[in-house]
Amino acid sequence: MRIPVLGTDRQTRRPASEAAPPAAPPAAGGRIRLDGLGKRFGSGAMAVSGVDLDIAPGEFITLLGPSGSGKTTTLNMIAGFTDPSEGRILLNDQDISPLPPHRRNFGMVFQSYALFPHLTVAQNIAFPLRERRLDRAEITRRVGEVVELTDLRGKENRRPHELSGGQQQRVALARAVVFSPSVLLLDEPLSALDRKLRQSLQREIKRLHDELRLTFVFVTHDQDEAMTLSDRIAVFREGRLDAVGTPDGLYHDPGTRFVAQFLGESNLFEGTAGPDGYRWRDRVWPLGRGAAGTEGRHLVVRPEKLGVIPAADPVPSGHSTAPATVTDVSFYGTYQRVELRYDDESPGCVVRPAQATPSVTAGEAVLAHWRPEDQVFVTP
Amino acid sequence: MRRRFTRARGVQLAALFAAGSLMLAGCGSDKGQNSSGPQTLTWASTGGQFQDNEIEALQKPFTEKTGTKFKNVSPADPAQVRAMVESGRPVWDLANMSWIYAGAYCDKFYEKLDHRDLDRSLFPEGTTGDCFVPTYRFANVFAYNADLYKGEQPDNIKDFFDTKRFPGKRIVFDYPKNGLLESALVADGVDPKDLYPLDVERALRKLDTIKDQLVFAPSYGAVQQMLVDKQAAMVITVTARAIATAESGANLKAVWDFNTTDIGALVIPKGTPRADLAQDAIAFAIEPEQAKAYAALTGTAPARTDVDIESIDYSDVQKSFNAFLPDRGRLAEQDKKWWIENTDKVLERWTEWKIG
Amino acid sequence: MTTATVTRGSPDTARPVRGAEGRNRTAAALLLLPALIALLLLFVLPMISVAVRSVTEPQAGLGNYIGLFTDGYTLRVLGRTLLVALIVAVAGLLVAYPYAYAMTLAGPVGRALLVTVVLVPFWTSMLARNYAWLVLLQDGGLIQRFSRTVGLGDEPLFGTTAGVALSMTQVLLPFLVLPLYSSMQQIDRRLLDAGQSLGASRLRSFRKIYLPLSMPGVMAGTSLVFVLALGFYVTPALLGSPQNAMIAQIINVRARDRLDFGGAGAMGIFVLVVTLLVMGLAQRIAKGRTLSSVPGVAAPARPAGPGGGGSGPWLRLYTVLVGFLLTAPTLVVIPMSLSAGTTFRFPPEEWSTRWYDNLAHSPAWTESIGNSLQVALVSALAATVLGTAAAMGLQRLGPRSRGVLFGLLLSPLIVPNILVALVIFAAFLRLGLNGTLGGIMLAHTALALPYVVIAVFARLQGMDPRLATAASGLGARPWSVFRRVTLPQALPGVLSGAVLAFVTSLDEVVVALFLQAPGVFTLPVQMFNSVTIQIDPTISAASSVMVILVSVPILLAQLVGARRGKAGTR
Repeated sequence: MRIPVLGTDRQTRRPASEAAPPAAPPAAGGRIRLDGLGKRFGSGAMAVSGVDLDIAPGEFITLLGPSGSGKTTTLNMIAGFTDPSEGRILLNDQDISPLPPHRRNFGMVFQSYALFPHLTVAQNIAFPLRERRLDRAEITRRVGEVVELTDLRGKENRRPHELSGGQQQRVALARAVVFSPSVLLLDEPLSALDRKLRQSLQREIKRLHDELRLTFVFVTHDQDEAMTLSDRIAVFREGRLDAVGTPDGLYHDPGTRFVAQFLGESNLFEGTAGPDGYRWRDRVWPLGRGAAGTEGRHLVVRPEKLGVIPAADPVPSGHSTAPATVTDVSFYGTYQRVELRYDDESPGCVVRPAQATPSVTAGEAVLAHWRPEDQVFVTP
Repeated sequence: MRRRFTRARGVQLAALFAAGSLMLAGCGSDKGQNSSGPQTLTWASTGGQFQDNEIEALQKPFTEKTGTKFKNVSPADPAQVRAMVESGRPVWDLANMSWIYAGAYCDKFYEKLDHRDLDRSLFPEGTTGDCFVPTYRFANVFAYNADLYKGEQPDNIKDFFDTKRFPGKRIVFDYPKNGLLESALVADGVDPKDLYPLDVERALRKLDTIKDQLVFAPSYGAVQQMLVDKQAAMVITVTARAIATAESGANLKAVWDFNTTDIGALVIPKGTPRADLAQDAIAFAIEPEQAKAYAALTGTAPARTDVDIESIDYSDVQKSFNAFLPDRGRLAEQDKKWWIENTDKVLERWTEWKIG
Repeated sequence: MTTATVTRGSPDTARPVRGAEGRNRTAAALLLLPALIALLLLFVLPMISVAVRSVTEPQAGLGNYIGLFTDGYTLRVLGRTLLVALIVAVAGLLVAYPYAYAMTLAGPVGRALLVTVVLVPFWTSMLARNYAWLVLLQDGGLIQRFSRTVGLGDEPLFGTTAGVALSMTQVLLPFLVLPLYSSMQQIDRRLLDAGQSLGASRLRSFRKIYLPLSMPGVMAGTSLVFVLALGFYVTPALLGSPQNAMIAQIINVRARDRLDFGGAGAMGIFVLVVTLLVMGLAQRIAKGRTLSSVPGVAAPARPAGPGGGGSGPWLRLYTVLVGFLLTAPTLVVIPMSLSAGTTFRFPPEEWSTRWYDNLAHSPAWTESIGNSLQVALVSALAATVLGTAAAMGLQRLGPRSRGVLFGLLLSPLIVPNILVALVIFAAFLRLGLNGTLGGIMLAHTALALPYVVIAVFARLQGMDPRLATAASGLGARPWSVFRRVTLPQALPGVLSGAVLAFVTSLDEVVVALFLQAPGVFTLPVQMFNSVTIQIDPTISAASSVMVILVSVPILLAQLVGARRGKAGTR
């Protein structure tokens, strides 16, 4: 592992000396460790508590959760805008909790862009460099580089209000990375953009991460975004860290019912595990690979792992089945979605190729079926 | 001029750099005045032409005689006298202001006058107090805008209260001791000799009959402006203001039926270290020579009974508003004692009546 | 397409963004401290002494306060005063709002012109202006002749509430237009398009989007005008009838004619309490949308630049009419100054420059103009620095403490000047500050402070709070954040605050009268002395000179700024 080139310490104490580092963005980001981090506003309940998280240098980590789950508060504590009530924040093993934001040397991209309306694009991007007292030539050079990197050429002398939303966001990105921070914090940067623009900017952010290899801490409530972009996802729920893992890992083994439902879609069966198998209503299903420690857990099958057949059809051998009624069938070009209502009234869904057989129609009584090895168990 | 400018600059800079601190600008103000050598008296008065006349007729000769210099400020606000005396820093030495205050707050906010030349027998009876003697005499003159009455012309105080025969606004200075109350009573049938104690309620009842035609001016300037603009047809105003108004273009004619007379006084704020010198200045001001010069400039009359009014070189306009010349009809000197004792109550009632 | 964004933070984003609380509270305290000290020394201590007197003079006890309820007129006058102030504030808002709106639409040159016109009433001295109204409103005056010709009736407005309200509204209009403009300027006009694209009619989208966003300016302006109207004294006395008497006149009579400092103090404190209650109530009713608790509105983009939008013919006509109203008294004062008569004449019967000769050759006049400019500049500068800091401190506070501090900061505007003047006079005598320009500057700084706080605060309210956060996140130290982000953003508010402070000092007469000494008197004092006893039209000459002296540089500076701005951004 490489030692980060730009330690906070060195950097913030002698901002002027920063003119020296080579133009090429450093190949390593900072390592961030959150150690029992917690926040209480006023005398109310804890808005965030007990957050332990290790973020590797150069990692792209997403803090995901519904609004009010504590993800933004956590990001604000990392940035230094909010004081933690308990716990520590470590950057490259040094406690930075007492440092004010301007001495942490993190790049930050805001939800509302927060571009300075009185400055031009170039001046906005140059802002952090001027704060670091770089000389004029160096500023021009670096601004030129990131303008190129973010595809803003020709817009340098515009004011923010003369740009489109996507362009404004690219300026915000450029401004956040121009001073080669070791960590880039992004607070729902794409939430104000329309779908198409959002996708193209997602690619852009991904590319930026690949090129700069900084540590990215990205906050969003959009699970698709999280899945597409992240190396790892930290799922927040009611102020606590519910699960941490790679998108793939979390998808296939969500661990908790919350993650299972928040991250992707799930068919969730609330039954009880017994020695003979998992009991759900009148059925007993084999425990499959989730055999150990399944007491009090729910059984989850992802939609694409599920098959659906008319109730009278023969069941593929070895598959577990659950009776249900089709409530809707819809086609999405290459695939189709079959919405179900299970006999216990809980909703479910199946995703299968558009041409899949046998076809089913709304109102039809069906059986959902799956291989026991495709099921997972989650805590309630 | 130049020196003052530099000092002002200094103060400005100090304020700039020490804004918020009360310790700035400690310069200024005349604390360290020497008792030996020429002294300076601060003279507060009305401002404008009237104070210029005081400078000319009363201050300059005194400076020539004694070397005493004068600093002039205006206006002379009795509230300020109270504040400066109570804070122990009387910064005025002489003030031309209503004797009512010197009467009501004698020895409290005003110095007693005990100069040997201020013999009370020199003045008309009832015009002096322990803290004031008159420096000049004037009248609250009833006059009308002659341009507005081409036919019949007012010649009786009753005409002021007859808006049918003589329509038009009546303007007065907004203060109850302006002669209006006395005029209302006389017009209502009271003998001028029996005016005091004033029956205020009766006077106000009489005034109610013309209340919608009364204009209460906040300043003498406003009185003048409205008379010149022919916004008001009749007026009761003090001698010097009537003269100034006529001189600035109003065709003003006095009605010598019934008018009240009054005195102007120079008074001394209590506790000034220059009280004796200030008394000298008052005694000097009432001497015949100064009194006559002053009267000739302002159109008022000298205070001392031994000064011959006929020997004063009044202009025609001044004569036409002078109540102390022969054939001026009925006159009543405003009762000093009654006004000193009752002004507060009358003011309260006056305010209530005006607003109601 | 562009997406305009107004983002109100979701519960978990709004709070943290204000910054780390500990540092924040310290900063708030530090920023507020200088202004609070200045106010404490120059206003609170005096008011305490007024309060003490009100229960000790002439006798100890609550007699003075009981008197207010039993004398039969104080309550009536106070009620009437509150009503007139409310009418003036509302009427003024109706007049000022479209004008301020037109200012945001105008091109740089047009805007420079509109700003200059708004400020003209400020530079026209209060006394000259009042006499101009007197001449305009009187029987046979221009307004009556006009209304007769148009068939609107024959009654002169002089001596009526309408006349008083008209002239008060005119005088107070700039106090509305400036905060309105500074707040409207921050509104992203694309939001209106967005509203319309979402199906709202033009009017509806204006009412539902633009109006709420301009609320900080509306609230700042109307509160300011309401409070200022309460203290009017000269205008109703000169132009109204006794039935129009306002509370300040009553207090003046008590303090000046009756020397009843205790009774006058009781009245002043009563007025202060009632006014603060009324304003607190208004705040409740407006659901906390008044001055002290307007939610931050993020408007990342400035309105469409020059040429964008464009105003319709009706708005244009309206703007011209308001501009005419704003300048009417000045347009009377200037010819008046060229009259040969010894009273105010409009139109003059004979022309002459004698009053200008008088002005130029009288040391009293030239000196007073110089003094006034010095005092106004220094007090405006000091008040702007203290007030801007205080406004920034206020913004960092919670809504409750903010409300209280706001009341405190507004109080010097509510308490009639005569009471403040009396106490400051007494205190300055003891401190040796009486009769010095420095003393007048100090007092004026305290009197001007509230205007700056209000103007800057309203502007800060409309600012995107994330900008400062973003700046510190990008490595800016607090001072740098202020200098490079907050200040440039707040500049219109700071400038309008500075202008209000400047004019407060330039037109203030009561305190200046008390603190004067030979050689140390301001222009309003000189003017006051020139119309009290006898009319001296030199004041119209002096006032005209001031209008030119101040307006021309301001217009030029703006034009230069406009041109440079144009060259810079396009």
